[in-house]
Amino acid sequence: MSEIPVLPPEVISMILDFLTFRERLALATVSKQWHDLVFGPKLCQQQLVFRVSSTKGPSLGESQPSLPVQRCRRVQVDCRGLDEEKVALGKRLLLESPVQHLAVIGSDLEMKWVLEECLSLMSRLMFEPICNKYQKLERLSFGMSGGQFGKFLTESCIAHINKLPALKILQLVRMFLDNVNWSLCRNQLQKIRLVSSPIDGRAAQQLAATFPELRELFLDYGYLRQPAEAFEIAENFSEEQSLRRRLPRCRVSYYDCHVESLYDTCSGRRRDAGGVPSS
Amino acid sequence: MSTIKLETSDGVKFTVKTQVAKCSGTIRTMLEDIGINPQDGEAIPLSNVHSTILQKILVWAEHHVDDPEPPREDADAAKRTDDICSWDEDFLKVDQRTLFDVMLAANYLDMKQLIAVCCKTVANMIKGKTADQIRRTFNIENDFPPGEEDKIRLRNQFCEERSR
Repeated sequence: MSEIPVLPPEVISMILDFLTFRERLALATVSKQWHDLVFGPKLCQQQLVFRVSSTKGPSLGESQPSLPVQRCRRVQVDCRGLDEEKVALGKRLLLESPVQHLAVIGSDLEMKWVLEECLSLMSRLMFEPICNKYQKLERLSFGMSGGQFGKFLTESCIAHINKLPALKILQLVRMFLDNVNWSLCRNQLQKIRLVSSPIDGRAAQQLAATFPELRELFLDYGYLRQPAEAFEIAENFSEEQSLRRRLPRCRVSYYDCHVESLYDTCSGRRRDAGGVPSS
Repeated sequence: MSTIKLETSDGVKFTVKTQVAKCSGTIRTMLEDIGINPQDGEAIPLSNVHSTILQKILVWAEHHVDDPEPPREDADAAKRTDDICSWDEDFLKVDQRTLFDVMLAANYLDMKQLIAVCCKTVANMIKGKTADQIRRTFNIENDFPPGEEDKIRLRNQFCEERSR
Protein backbone atom coordinates (compact mmCIF):
# COMPACT_ATOMS: atom_id res chain seq x y z
CA MET A 1 0.00 0.00 0.00
CA SER A 2 1.30 3.40 -0.88
CA GLU A 3 2.11 5.71 1.95
CA ILE A 4 -0.62 8.03 3.15
CA PRO A 5 0.37 11.67 2.80
CA VAL A 6 0.54 13.66 6.02
CA LEU A 7 -2.07 16.41 6.15
CA PRO A 8 -0.94 19.92 7.03
CA PRO A 9 -2.39 21.50 10.20
CA GLU A 10 -4.71 23.90 8.37
CA VAL A 11 -6.38 20.96 6.63
CA ILE A 12 -6.72 19.01 9.89
CA SER A 13 -8.32 22.10 11.46
CA MET A 14 -10.84 22.24 8.66
CA ILE A 15 -11.73 18.60 9.21
CA LEU A 16 -12.14 19.23 12.95
CA ASP A 17 -14.65 21.95 12.13
CA PHE A 18 -17.03 19.28 10.93
CA LEU A 19 -16.93 17.32 14.16
CA THR A 20 -18.85 17.87 17.35
CA PHE A 21 -17.10 19.10 20.44
CA ARG A 22 -17.02 15.66 22.01
CA GLU A 23 -15.72 14.03 18.86
CA ARG A 24 -12.98 16.63 18.69
CA LEU A 25 -12.06 16.18 22.33
CA ALA A 26 -11.54 12.49 21.70
CA LEU A 27 -8.97 13.36 19.01
CA ALA A 28 -6.79 15.24 21.46
CA THR A 29 -5.00 12.01 22.31
CA VAL A 30 -3.95 11.22 18.73
CA SER A 31 -0.71 13.19 18.77
CA LYS A 32 0.77 16.40 20.13
CA GLN A 33 -0.05 18.22 16.92
CA TRP A 34 -3.69 17.10 16.99
CA HIS A 35 -3.87 17.95 20.66
CA ASP A 36 -2.79 21.50 19.95
CA LEU A 37 -5.22 21.78 17.05
CA VAL A 38 -8.13 20.49 19.11
CA PHE A 39 -7.34 23.03 21.80
CA GLY A 40 -6.62 25.81 19.36
CA PRO A 41 -8.02 29.31 19.52
CA LYS A 42 -11.41 28.13 18.35
CA LEU A 43 -11.99 26.21 21.54
CA CYS A 44 -11.36 29.33 23.59
CA GLN A 45 -14.25 31.03 21.88
CA GLN A 46 -16.53 28.23 22.76
CA GLN A 47 -18.44 28.27 25.97
CA LEU A 48 -17.73 25.11 27.80
CA VAL A 49 -19.43 23.72 30.81
CA PHE A 50 -17.13 22.02 33.22
CA ARG A 51 -18.97 19.64 35.48
CA VAL A 52 -17.58 18.22 38.64
CA SER A 53 -19.84 15.47 39.87
CA SER A 54 -19.52 12.16 41.58
CA THR A 55 -19.61 10.10 38.42
CA LYS A 56 -17.56 12.31 36.17
CA GLY A 57 -15.07 13.99 38.40
CA PRO A 58 -11.51 15.00 37.90
CA SER A 59 -9.19 12.29 39.11
CA LEU A 60 -6.96 12.93 42.03
CA GLY A 61 -3.27 13.33 41.67
CA GLU A 62 -3.65 15.40 38.54
CA SER A 63 -0.91 17.91 38.57
CA GLN A 64 -2.35 20.25 35.97
CA PRO A 65 -5.89 21.02 34.98
CA SER A 66 -6.81 20.22 31.41
CA LEU A 67 -6.72 22.81 28.70
CA PRO A 68 -10.49 22.94 28.29
CA VAL A 69 -10.84 23.63 31.97
CA GLN A 70 -8.33 26.43 31.75
CA ARG A 71 -10.44 27.89 29.02
CA CYS A 72 -13.89 27.24 30.40
CA ARG A 73 -15.92 30.35 30.84
CA ARG A 74 -19.01 28.75 32.27
CA VAL A 75 -18.47 26.47 35.16
CA GLN A 76 -21.08 24.31 36.73
CA VAL A 77 -20.07 22.56 39.89
CA ASP A 78 -22.34 19.70 40.72
CA CYS A 79 -21.05 18.59 44.08
CA ARG A 80 -23.70 16.00 44.82
CA GLY A 81 -22.08 12.90 46.21
CA LEU A 82 -18.53 14.15 46.04
CA ASP A 83 -16.04 13.19 48.66
CA GLU A 84 -13.86 15.75 50.34
CA GLU A 85 -10.83 15.05 48.21
CA LYS A 86 -12.70 15.53 44.99
CA VAL A 87 -14.22 18.69 46.29
CA ALA A 88 -10.78 20.04 47.10
CA LEU A 89 -9.58 19.21 43.63
CA GLY A 90 -12.65 20.70 42.02
CA LYS A 91 -12.09 23.90 43.93
CA ARG A 92 -8.53 24.12 42.78
CA LEU A 93 -9.42 23.49 39.17
CA LEU A 94 -12.12 26.10 39.37
CA LEU A 95 -9.77 28.73 40.62
CA GLU A 96 -7.53 28.15 37.65
CA SER A 97 -10.13 28.75 34.98
CA PRO A 98 -11.27 32.11 33.61
CA VAL A 99 -14.86 31.70 34.71
CA GLN A 100 -17.54 34.14 33.73
CA HIS A 101 -20.53 32.10 34.75
CA LEU A 102 -20.51 30.01 37.85
CA ALA A 103 -23.21 27.69 39.07
CA VAL A 104 -23.05 25.43 42.09
CA ILE A 105 -25.50 22.64 42.84
CA GLY A 106 -25.49 20.30 45.77
CA SER A 107 -27.24 18.95 48.80
CA ASP A 108 -26.84 20.35 52.26
CA LEU A 109 -23.86 18.35 53.32
CA GLU A 110 -21.95 18.76 50.11
CA MET A 111 -22.75 22.41 49.84
CA LYS A 112 -21.03 22.87 53.13
CA TRP A 113 -17.75 23.68 51.55
CA VAL A 114 -19.25 26.33 49.40
CA LEU A 115 -21.91 27.76 51.60
CA GLU A 116 -20.74 27.41 55.15
CA GLU A 117 -17.02 27.11 54.96
CA CYS A 118 -16.60 29.34 52.00
CA LEU A 119 -19.38 31.82 52.32
CA SER A 120 -19.86 32.46 55.98
CA LEU A 121 -16.32 31.83 57.14
CA MET A 122 -15.44 32.98 53.72
CA SER A 123 -11.86 33.96 53.60
CA ARG A 124 -10.36 30.53 53.75
CA LEU A 125 -11.36 28.65 50.69
CA MET A 126 -13.48 29.33 47.80
CA PHE A 127 -15.69 32.30 47.66
CA GLU A 128 -13.23 35.00 48.42
CA PRO A 129 -10.69 33.72 45.91
CA ILE A 130 -13.47 33.56 43.35
CA CYS A 131 -14.50 37.10 44.02
CA ASN A 132 -10.93 38.32 43.97
CA LYS A 133 -9.99 36.44 40.88
CA TYR A 134 -13.02 36.54 38.66
CA GLN A 135 -13.35 40.23 38.16
CA LYS A 136 -15.24 39.51 34.98
CA LEU A 137 -17.81 37.18 36.47
CA GLU A 138 -21.17 38.22 35.05
CA ARG A 139 -23.49 35.60 36.34
CA LEU A 140 -23.45 33.90 39.68
CA SER A 141 -25.81 31.10 40.62
CA PHE A 142 -26.08 29.21 43.83
CA GLY A 143 -28.65 26.53 44.37
CA MET A 144 -29.58 23.75 46.72
CA SER A 145 -30.83 20.46 45.40
CA GLY A 146 -34.42 19.41 46.00
CA GLY A 147 -35.65 19.04 49.56
CA GLN A 148 -33.06 21.33 51.07
CA PHE A 149 -32.71 24.99 51.74
CA GLY A 150 -29.53 26.96 52.14
CA LYS A 151 -28.59 30.33 53.48
CA PHE A 152 -26.97 32.94 51.40
CA LEU A 153 -26.15 36.60 51.28
CA THR A 154 -24.89 37.12 54.76
CA GLU A 155 -23.11 40.42 55.29
CA SER A 156 -19.65 39.06 54.61
CA CYS A 157 -20.97 37.26 51.58
CA ILE A 158 -22.39 40.47 50.16
CA ALA A 159 -19.09 42.19 50.84
CA HIS A 160 -17.41 39.66 48.60
CA ILE A 161 -20.04 39.85 45.91
CA ASN A 162 -19.48 43.57 45.91
CA LYS A 163 -15.99 42.86 44.63
CA LEU A 164 -17.43 41.59 41.36
CA PRO A 165 -17.86 44.76 39.33
CA ALA A 166 -19.10 42.96 36.22
CA LEU A 167 -21.77 40.91 37.97
CA LYS A 168 -25.10 41.37 36.24
CA ILE A 169 -27.13 38.30 37.03
CA LEU A 170 -27.64 36.71 40.41
CA GLN A 171 -29.58 33.51 40.60
CA LEU A 172 -30.41 31.74 43.83
CA VAL A 173 -32.33 28.51 44.09
CA ARG A 174 -33.86 27.33 47.37
CA MET A 175 -32.19 29.86 49.62
CA PHE A 176 -33.59 31.40 52.77
CA LEU A 177 -33.17 35.09 52.34
CA ASP A 178 -34.18 36.12 55.83
CA ASN A 179 -32.25 39.02 57.27
CA VAL A 180 -30.59 39.76 53.96
CA ASN A 181 -29.67 43.40 53.89
CA TRP A 182 -29.95 44.11 50.20
CA SER A 183 -28.98 47.72 50.68
CA LEU A 184 -25.39 46.61 51.29
CA CYS A 185 -25.12 45.41 47.69
CA ARG A 186 -23.08 47.68 45.47
CA ASN A 187 -23.33 45.73 42.23
CA GLN A 188 -25.21 47.01 39.24
CA LEU A 189 -27.34 43.90 38.99
CA GLN A 190 -29.66 43.69 36.01
CA LYS A 191 -31.38 40.44 36.74
CA ILE A 192 -32.17 38.73 40.00
CA ARG A 193 -33.76 35.32 39.93
CA LEU A 194 -34.88 33.93 43.24
CA VAL A 195 -36.25 30.52 42.43
CA SER A 196 -38.10 28.67 45.20
CA SER A 197 -36.61 31.12 47.64
CA PRO A 198 -38.94 32.54 50.30
CA ILE A 199 -38.93 36.30 50.60
CA ASP A 200 -41.15 38.79 52.38
CA GLY A 201 -42.50 42.05 51.09
CA ARG A 202 -40.19 44.19 53.15
CA ALA A 203 -37.07 42.51 51.77
CA ALA A 204 -38.49 42.73 48.26
CA GLN A 205 -39.00 46.45 48.63
CA GLN A 206 -35.52 46.90 49.95
CA LEU A 207 -34.24 44.95 46.99
CA ALA A 208 -36.21 47.20 44.65
CA ALA A 209 -34.83 50.30 46.32
CA THR A 210 -31.27 48.98 46.01
CA PHE A 211 -31.53 48.08 42.33
CA PRO A 212 -33.76 50.67 40.71
CA GLU A 213 -32.35 49.75 37.28
CA LEU A 214 -33.30 46.08 37.59
CA ARG A 215 -34.67 44.63 34.38
CA GLU A 216 -35.78 41.23 35.59
CA LEU A 217 -36.91 39.96 38.97
CA PHE A 218 -38.05 36.36 39.12
CA LEU A 219 -39.74 35.15 42.27
CA ASP A 220 -40.85 31.93 40.62
CA TYR A 221 -42.00 28.99 42.74
CA GLY A 222 -41.41 31.22 45.71
CA TYR A 223 -43.22 31.57 48.99
CA LEU A 224 -44.07 35.21 49.40
CA ARG A 225 -44.31 36.00 53.06
CA GLN A 226 -46.22 38.63 54.92
CA PRO A 227 -46.15 41.56 54.91
CA ALA A 228 -47.00 40.94 51.26
CA GLU A 229 -48.46 44.30 50.21
CA ALA A 230 -45.69 44.78 47.66
CA PHE A 231 -46.60 41.68 45.67
CA GLU A 232 -49.13 42.22 42.94
CA ILE A 233 -50.58 38.77 43.38
CA ALA A 234 -51.22 39.12 47.11
CA GLU A 235 -54.73 39.48 48.45
CA ASN A 236 -53.63 42.45 50.55
CA PHE A 237 -51.68 44.04 47.70
CA SER A 238 -51.39 47.77 47.95
CA GLU A 239 -50.86 49.85 44.85
CA GLU A 240 -48.62 52.22 46.78
CA GLN A 241 -46.12 49.55 47.69
CA SER A 242 -46.24 47.73 44.36
CA LEU A 243 -42.98 46.19 43.23
CA ARG A 244 -43.78 46.84 39.60
CA ARG A 245 -44.39 50.47 40.38
CA ARG A 246 -41.06 50.74 42.11
CA LEU A 247 -39.28 48.95 39.29
CA PRO A 248 -40.91 50.45 36.22
CA ARG A 249 -38.37 48.98 33.79
CA CYS A 250 -38.37 45.56 35.36
CA ARG A 251 -40.17 42.40 34.44
CA VAL A 252 -41.44 40.88 37.68
CA SER A 253 -42.44 37.27 37.45
CA TYR A 254 -44.55 35.41 40.00
CA TYR A 255 -44.80 32.08 38.25
CA ASP A 256 -46.36 29.49 40.57
CA CYS A 257 -45.78 31.63 43.65
CA HIS A 258 -47.69 31.21 46.88
CA VAL A 259 -48.51 34.06 49.16
CA GLU A 260 -48.51 33.43 52.86
CA SER A 261 -52.09 33.23 54.01
CA LEU A 262 -53.51 36.01 56.12
CA TYR A 263 -55.58 33.51 58.02
CA ASP A 264 -54.47 32.46 61.38
CA THR A 265 -54.25 28.74 60.90
CA CYS A 266 -54.94 27.99 64.55
CA SER A 267 -58.10 29.99 64.95
CA GLY A 268 -59.12 29.91 61.29
CA ARG A 269 -59.68 33.64 61.39
CA ARG A 270 -58.28 36.24 59.23
CA ARG A 271 -55.51 38.31 60.69
CA ASP A 272 -56.10 41.86 59.72
CA ALA A 273 -53.49 43.31 57.41
CA GLY A 274 -53.16 46.17 59.87
CA GLY A 275 -52.10 43.80 62.58
CA VAL A 276 -55.19 43.88 64.79
CA PRO A 277 -54.95 40.72 66.87
CA SER A 278 -57.65 38.20 66.44
CA SER A 279 -59.75 37.65 69.47
CA MET B 1 -14.15 29.87 -25.41
CA SER B 2 -10.86 30.85 -23.86
CA THR B 3 -8.60 28.18 -22.52
CA ILE B 4 -5.43 28.18 -20.49
CA LYS B 5 -2.66 25.68 -20.02
CA LEU B 6 -1.68 24.15 -16.71
CA GLU B 7 1.50 22.19 -16.09
CA THR B 8 1.65 19.64 -13.26
CA SER B 9 4.58 18.58 -11.10
CA ASP B 10 5.34 15.64 -13.39
CA GLY B 11 5.49 17.88 -16.47
CA VAL B 12 2.11 17.01 -17.99
CA LYS B 13 0.33 19.90 -19.70
CA PHE B 14 -3.43 20.29 -19.54
CA THR B 15 -5.52 22.63 -21.67
CA VAL B 16 -8.45 23.78 -19.57
CA LYS B 17 -11.39 26.13 -20.07
CA THR B 18 -10.53 29.35 -18.25
CA GLN B 19 -13.88 29.28 -16.48
CA VAL B 20 -13.17 25.81 -15.09
CA ALA B 21 -9.63 26.71 -14.07
CA LYS B 22 -11.02 29.68 -12.15
CA CYS B 23 -12.72 27.31 -9.71
CA SER B 24 -9.27 27.43 -8.17
CA GLY B 25 -8.69 30.55 -6.11
CA THR B 26 -4.96 30.16 -6.66
CA ILE B 27 -5.25 30.15 -10.46
CA ARG B 28 -7.84 32.96 -10.37
CA THR B 29 -5.43 35.11 -8.38
CA MET B 30 -2.59 34.33 -10.78
CA LEU B 31 -4.70 35.34 -13.76
CA GLU B 32 -6.43 38.36 -12.33
CA ASP B 33 -4.05 39.90 -9.84
CA ILE B 34 -0.59 38.86 -10.80
CA GLY B 35 -1.38 39.29 -14.47
CA ILE B 36 -0.13 36.07 -15.94
CA ASN B 37 -1.33 36.22 -19.50
CA PRO B 38 -2.64 32.89 -20.75
CA GLN B 39 -2.67 34.19 -24.31
CA ASP B 40 1.10 33.85 -24.33
CA GLY B 41 0.58 30.13 -24.53
CA GLU B 42 2.75 29.62 -21.51
CA ALA B 43 1.46 27.01 -19.06
CA ILE B 44 0.80 27.94 -15.44
CA PRO B 45 3.03 25.72 -13.33
CA LEU B 46 1.27 23.81 -10.54
CA SER B 47 4.34 22.41 -8.88
CA ASN B 48 2.47 20.77 -5.99
CA VAL B 49 -0.05 18.81 -8.02
CA HIS B 50 0.48 15.52 -9.82
CA SER B 51 -1.21 14.94 -13.17
CA THR B 52 -3.39 12.04 -11.96
CA ILE B 53 -4.77 14.23 -9.21
CA LEU B 54 -5.22 17.31 -11.38
CA GLN B 55 -7.14 15.21 -13.86
CA LYS B 56 -9.48 14.13 -11.12
CA ILE B 57 -9.87 17.65 -9.79
CA LEU B 58 -10.67 18.98 -13.25
CA VAL B 59 -13.49 16.43 -13.53
CA TRP B 60 -14.90 17.81 -10.29
CA ALA B 61 -14.45 21.43 -11.39
CA GLU B 62 -16.12 20.72 -14.74
CA HIS B 63 -19.13 19.26 -12.94
CA HIS B 64 -19.40 22.07 -10.40
CA VAL B 65 -18.42 24.99 -12.61
CA ASP B 66 -21.93 26.44 -12.65
CA ASP B 67 -22.60 25.98 -8.92
CA PRO B 68 -23.88 29.12 -7.24
CA GLU B 69 -21.76 30.68 -4.50
CA PRO B 70 -22.48 28.83 -1.28
CA PRO B 71 -24.27 30.85 1.39
CA ARG B 72 -22.06 32.18 4.11
CA GLU B 73 -22.21 29.81 7.01
CA ASP B 74 -22.69 30.88 10.55
CA ALA B 75 -19.35 30.20 12.18
CA ASP B 76 -21.02 28.94 15.34
CA ALA B 77 -23.48 26.65 13.67
CA ALA B 78 -22.69 22.98 13.91
CA LYS B 79 -21.51 21.92 10.49
CA ARG B 80 -23.28 19.04 8.85
CA THR B 81 -21.46 16.15 7.30
CA ASP B 82 -24.48 14.32 5.95
CA ASP B 83 -25.23 16.72 3.13
CA ILE B 84 -22.70 15.50 0.56
CA CYS B 85 -24.40 15.27 -2.82
CA SER B 86 -24.44 11.84 -4.40
CA TRP B 87 -22.25 12.89 -7.32
CA ASP B 88 -19.54 14.04 -4.91
CA GLU B 89 -19.99 10.92 -2.84
CA ASP B 90 -19.29 8.76 -5.88
CA PHE B 91 -16.49 11.06 -6.94
CA LEU B 92 -14.75 10.59 -3.59
CA LYS B 93 -15.14 6.83 -3.49
CA VAL B 94 -11.42 6.42 -3.99
CA ASP B 95 -8.60 4.93 -1.99
CA GLN B 96 -7.49 6.95 0.95
CA ARG B 97 -4.25 8.06 -0.57
CA THR B 98 -6.06 9.58 -3.53
CA LEU B 99 -8.59 11.23 -1.22
CA PHE B 100 -5.80 12.84 0.80
CA ASP B 101 -3.93 13.86 -2.36
CA VAL B 102 -7.09 15.46 -3.73
CA MET B 103 -7.55 17.27 -0.44
CA LEU B 104 -3.96 18.54 -0.42
CA ALA B 105 -4.22 19.66 -4.02
CA ALA B 106 -7.58 21.34 -3.39
CA ASN B 107 -5.99 23.13 -0.46
CA TYR B 108 -3.07 24.25 -2.63
CA LEU B 109 -5.39 25.31 -5.43
CA ASP B 110 -7.71 27.03 -2.94
CA MET B 111 -10.93 25.30 -3.99
CA LYS B 112 -13.14 25.85 -0.96
CA GLN B 113 -16.10 23.75 -2.01
CA LEU B 114 -13.94 20.77 -2.89
CA ILE B 115 -12.02 21.04 0.38
CA ALA B 116 -15.28 21.22 2.31
CA VAL B 117 -16.66 18.10 0.71
CA CYS B 118 -13.36 16.26 1.28
CA CYS B 119 -13.29 17.38 4.90
CA LYS B 120 -16.85 16.14 5.38
CA THR B 121 -15.86 12.79 3.93
CA VAL B 122 -12.84 12.53 6.20
CA ALA B 123 -14.85 13.73 9.21
CA ASN B 124 -17.28 10.88 8.55
CA MET B 125 -14.33 8.51 8.46
CA ILE B 126 -13.14 9.81 11.84
CA LYS B 127 -16.45 9.54 13.66
CA GLY B 128 -16.53 6.61 16.01
CA LYS B 129 -12.87 5.72 15.64
CA THR B 130 -10.46 5.39 18.53
CA ALA B 131 -7.32 7.50 18.71
CA ASP B 132 -5.29 4.46 17.75
CA GLN B 133 -7.39 3.72 14.69
CA ILE B 134 -7.08 7.33 13.64
CA ARG B 135 -3.31 7.24 13.97
CA ARG B 136 -3.22 4.26 11.63
CA THR B 137 -5.66 5.86 9.20
CA PHE B 138 -3.79 9.13 9.08
CA ASN B 139 -0.28 7.78 9.31
CA ILE B 140 0.39 9.68 12.52
CA GLU B 141 2.98 8.76 15.08
CA ASN B 142 1.92 8.77 18.71
CA ASP B 143 4.46 11.20 20.10
CA PHE B 144 3.08 11.42 23.61
CA PRO B 145 5.28 10.12 26.40
CA PRO B 146 3.90 6.91 27.93
CA GLY B 147 0.93 7.52 30.19
CA GLU B 148 0.31 11.03 28.89
CA GLU B 149 -2.47 9.90 26.60
CA ASP B 150 -4.47 8.42 29.47
CA LYS B 151 -4.00 11.57 31.48
CA ILE B 152 -5.36 13.77 28.72
CA ARG B 153 -8.32 11.49 28.27
CA LEU B 154 -9.03 11.58 31.98
CA ARG B 155 -8.78 15.34 32.19
CA ASN B 156 -11.07 15.89 29.25
CA GLN B 157 -13.81 13.51 30.11
CA PHE B 158 -15.70 15.85 32.39
CA CYS B 159 -15.80 18.78 30.04
CA GLU B 160 -18.93 19.45 28.08
CA GLU B 161 -20.03 21.91 25.50
CA ARG B 162 -22.60 24.37 26.63
CA SER B 163 -26.01 23.05 25.70
CA ARG B 164 -27.89 25.31 23.37
